[in-house]
Amino acid sequence: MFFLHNLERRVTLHPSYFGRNMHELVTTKLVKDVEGTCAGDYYIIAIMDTFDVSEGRILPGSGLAEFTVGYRAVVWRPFKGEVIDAIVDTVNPHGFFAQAGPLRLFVSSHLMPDEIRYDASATPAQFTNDADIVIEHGTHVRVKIIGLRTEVGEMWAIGSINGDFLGCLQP
Amino acid sequence: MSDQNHAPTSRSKPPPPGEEEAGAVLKLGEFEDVDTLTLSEASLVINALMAKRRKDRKDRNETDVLNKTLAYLDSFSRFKQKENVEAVERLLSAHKELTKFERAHIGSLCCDSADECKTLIPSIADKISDEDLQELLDEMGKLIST
Repeated sequence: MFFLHNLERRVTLHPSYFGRNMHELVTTKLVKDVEGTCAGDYYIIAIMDTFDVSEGRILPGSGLAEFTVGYRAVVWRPFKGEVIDAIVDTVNPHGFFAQAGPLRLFVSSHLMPDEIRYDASATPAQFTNDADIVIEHGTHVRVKIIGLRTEVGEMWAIGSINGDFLGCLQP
Repeated sequence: MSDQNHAPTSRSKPPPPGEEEAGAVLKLGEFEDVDTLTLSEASLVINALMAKRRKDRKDRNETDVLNKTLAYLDSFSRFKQKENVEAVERLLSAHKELTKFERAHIGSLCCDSADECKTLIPSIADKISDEDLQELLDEMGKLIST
């Protein structure tokens, strides 16, 4: 789910940058440091603007100035139990990997309806129920997030298509 | 010296992780009251931001995450025109009985029937009647542009 979140961060500035345009430099440094990262539970996609740059405080011993910056950012946070759309990436006998924006999802064959089976003989490899449903690289699917795992800088998710209205999407 | 503000000597316990979920009861943790964006709105906002940065000749900072997100939004956002996105936003905000999260979820999934919507978003089951929900989905359906 996309959110417009207000966040805060401490940014340091080297004394060689003191002068005019300090706020702009602080904002640029903030953008370079924070945009595109995964802050634990969520991804910071883009920073919109800074609404509060505090007065700079010189850190004793190093001479760097520290600013506490409040900013607004477009953030993407997937929730357990949320239903999202994704594009299938790779297929293997145990399930398939799908990509939903920056998040990589894995849907195991156990979390698929019984009639959908792995078909190794087809090129490319796919999951199919031998009737109208084909899941292969590039298919759009609707997945329910069952579990999330976060590590420093990255997130992984497990999803399921075993449920009403989940699975292949008509393009 | 004695009137210096000392840093607090104890930190409050951080909220326990792993409790947030969007099941039949919404537990959003720190995102409880934060403004949400449907896929189409997020697409508009991010593209407008990139256009503005291009215009100001600033570095657009195209990270991997940003490019993947833009590609994802291009594929899945249902409402392409700005007017349609705003119209959908007005339709959704009229329903004050739903939380921001639920409204954005409905706007992103664009289900055909009220039954489908209530199955995919269990937390709205009791908050809105089937007729009202179906009416909302039909109105939204008219605004989908291919």
